[in-house]
Amino acid sequence: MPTNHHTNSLEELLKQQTDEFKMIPSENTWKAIHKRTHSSRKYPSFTAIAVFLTIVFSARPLSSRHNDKVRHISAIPTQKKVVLVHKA
Amino acid sequence: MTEDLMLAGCINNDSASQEALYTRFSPRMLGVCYRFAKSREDAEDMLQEGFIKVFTQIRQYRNEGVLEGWIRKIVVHTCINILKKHKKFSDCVDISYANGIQTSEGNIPSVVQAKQVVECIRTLPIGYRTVLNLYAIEGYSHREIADMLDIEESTSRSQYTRAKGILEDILVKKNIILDSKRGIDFAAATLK
Repeated sequence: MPTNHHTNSLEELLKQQTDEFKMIPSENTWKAIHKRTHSSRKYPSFTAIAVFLTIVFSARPLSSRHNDKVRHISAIPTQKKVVLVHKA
Repeated sequence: MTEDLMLAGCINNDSASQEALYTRFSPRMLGVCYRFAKSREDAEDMLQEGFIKVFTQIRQYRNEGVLEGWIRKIVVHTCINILKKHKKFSDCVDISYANGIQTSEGNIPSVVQAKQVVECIRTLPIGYRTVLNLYAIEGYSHREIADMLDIEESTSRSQYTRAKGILEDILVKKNIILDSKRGIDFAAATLK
């Protein structure tokens, strides 16, 4: 915790003057704070739905690609074994 | 709005209470950030991060001590964390400033413009300015400053001594304080 170390007049001057110093922040600063402290809680279901849809749509092409591959493999005719008989 | 109502509202994430707290304390806190920051824009970014931390940690405030002090502590730590991401404080020591500068006492006029003093502090190199802000204004010890800035305690002490010397020179040149070494009453003209 901060403690008081002010021992001479220069430090007292700094302390006094800086304590009086104020600046008015721009409106955008409050807007940004408000947005960040409330946006995630305002539409929690919207975020959840967005995440769900992203997962569904990214998983679907992978799944269909996998099915196509399986279909393609099953369509290949099995090769008949050719037995070569070597006649001496 | 009373402080208790404001606090209760902030704990419930009530916008109006948060805005009331922000409106009450942000001008002084922006002044704090401005002393640490490179520019006004950087100061506003620090203020923004600081208040977001205040609102997310408001449940931890136990009504021990002054609310402004608690907010100020969070804001100062936020400023330091942001500065630490961009700067190594141990690299900021400039020995050339240290020689021959003594801090005088008893020569400070009672009325000085706050903005002038703050602008003089802001002309210091970042390392010196940070240590001076933390020690002389925020009241942290050199041990605490060393921990906050990841530097040696002796580095904090030496940077503070140098910072104070440079600042005194700047204040004399700007006619804000008297130059006791040369015996010239600069401030008398300025403060008429």
